[in-house]
Amino acid sequence: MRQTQQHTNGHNGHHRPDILTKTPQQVTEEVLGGTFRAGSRFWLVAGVMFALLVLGVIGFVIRTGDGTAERGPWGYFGAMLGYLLTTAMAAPIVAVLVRLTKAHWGKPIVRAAQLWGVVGILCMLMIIPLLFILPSASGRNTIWFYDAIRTGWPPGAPHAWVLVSFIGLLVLSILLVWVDSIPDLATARDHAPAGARKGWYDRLSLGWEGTTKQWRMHRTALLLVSVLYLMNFVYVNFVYSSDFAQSFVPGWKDSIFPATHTVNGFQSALALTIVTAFVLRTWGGYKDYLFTEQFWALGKLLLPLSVFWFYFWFSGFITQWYGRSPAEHGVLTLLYFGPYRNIFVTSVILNFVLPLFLLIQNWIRRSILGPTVVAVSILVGTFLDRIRLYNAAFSVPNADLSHHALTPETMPPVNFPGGADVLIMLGAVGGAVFLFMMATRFVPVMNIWEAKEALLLQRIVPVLKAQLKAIGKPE
Amino acid sequence: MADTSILGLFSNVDTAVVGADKLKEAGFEDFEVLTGSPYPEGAFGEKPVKHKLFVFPLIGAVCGFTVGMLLTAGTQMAYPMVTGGKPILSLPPMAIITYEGTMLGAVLFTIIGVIFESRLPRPRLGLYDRRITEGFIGLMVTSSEQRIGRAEQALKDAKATEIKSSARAGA
Repeated sequence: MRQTQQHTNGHNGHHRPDILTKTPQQVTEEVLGGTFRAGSRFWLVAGVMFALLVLGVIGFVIRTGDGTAERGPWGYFGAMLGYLLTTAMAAPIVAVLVRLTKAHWGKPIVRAAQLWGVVGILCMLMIIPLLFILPSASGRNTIWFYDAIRTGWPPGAPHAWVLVSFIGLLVLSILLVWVDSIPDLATARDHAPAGARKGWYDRLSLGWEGTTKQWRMHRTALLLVSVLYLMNFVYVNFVYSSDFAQSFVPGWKDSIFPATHTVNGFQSALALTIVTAFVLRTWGGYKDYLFTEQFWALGKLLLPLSVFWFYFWFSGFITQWYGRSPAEHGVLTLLYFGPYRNIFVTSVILNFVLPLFLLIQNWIRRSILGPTVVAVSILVGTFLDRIRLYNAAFSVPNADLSHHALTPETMPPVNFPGGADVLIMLGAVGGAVFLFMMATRFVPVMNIWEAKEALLLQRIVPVLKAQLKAIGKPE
Repeated sequence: MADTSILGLFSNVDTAVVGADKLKEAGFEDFEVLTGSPYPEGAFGEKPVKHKLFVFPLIGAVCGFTVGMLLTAGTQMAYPMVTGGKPILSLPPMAIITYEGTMLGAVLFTIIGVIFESRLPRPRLGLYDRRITEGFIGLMVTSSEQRIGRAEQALKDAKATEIKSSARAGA
């Protein structure tokens, strides 16, 4: 502990690396202790989040009273699903990238990032009512084909394939958490007091013993599932953004928009992971496991992705701006310069301007608080951006879907949130946080087996007067 | 005659490596290492692990791809309507379903592959000790009753903290 604090800031402002300085037994006891037992503060926050979830359900029930004939009232509901897709469901991507690039700095944050995948349960529930308001592919520009004989092509399109993509995302997110945590579930099995919890650990750890072959299988399986999650995440973003946003706005022809949506997801994934790591470090009891290094490294990635946010948006925007056809003019007015101008400008500031000007400064990037502040800014900015995109798209009436362009007469006004919408927004955020918190009660939020691996493979080595971290990379 | 298994427990890595060397000197090349975290391959001088897990997602992906192609091409052939002036069999829309089909096939076969190759789930734990998840290293040997005594002696010579046998563990 003393060594850790000494390494946080070296003399003369030089960075000194930190490493975990505990025994394997201490790691097991501390992490499992944090998993099995939670303090009153945890349950207080969980209770508040559950209350928000209940409010969200009430909001949803109120919203169903409006029926599904028009999409307008469902704008905030669709936006919240879009928000969860680009934040909570994107967070496991950070874990995937850490694994694929074998980035050792990321090991302490991998499990927390993956655990956000449990929000897939909420996304799965939220997509069901939206399928009822998703019109047929007839008469709108979609990725699906439609004509007089084939009522939706490929068969079942668009509804069945949207559903399949969400089922795939849910299955893979749970699979990713489970496969990764099998060794830790076995550790929990060995140490949990007798009872129902131990029984579940017993079943889910599948009789894991930690043989060489099992570890080899585990590593390979983890890589495979990680790659498949990444592939499916891109697919779901593609389907949702094109079917539930682009195809609702006449004249919105932007081939880069689904890619923009996905890249926004990568940015928000990093932001959510940083905030999660900050919470775990500050209030979760994991100060000895999470160091400046994790925030610094994530901050470095956050900077280019914030620039990408602007680049991807601008690439789509500039084509329409130069086009200046009535259809493109209508799209620009709806999304950027008309009813949603203020919300758009705010999201540009929060997603691009602020992160850029803060993260280009070394002292901010190389800290714990700096990247966290930027991450919060990005999460708020993305929230506003999803509100803008999906509300604007949902507010176009069915009657105008088959038009070639939005005109000043058909331009929908800004859709201000009603009481039910506020409840839905609170419920979606509260529900996501509640699911995550509950997941941490069963699956250790800190990766025990990787923390132990780090104990084996990492050392602080003196080189002249500097202290360097030496990492043994098995592959 | 049935084989017997013994498990030598070591409190640290260094003595475990000595134990592995002693086992090899005694003629036991095919021993199992049980650890609470992954160690670099060959860290204990154990035999390399071979597996065919990569084949499973590949087969699944090929199956999914084929089903996706057949589904999309089949329906287009069954209802040959020209849409938007594009060919009957147009690849861009087929790619969407084929992509998802490929992935679903790969996912399904990966799950099957992991379960099959890891020989999981095991309804009952074999020779095992919970201290392995606390940082102990286990060296497990399975051999005939005539030879198992030599393995036990090798583990004792390496100063194993405890030696468990399947007969005693089952008792």
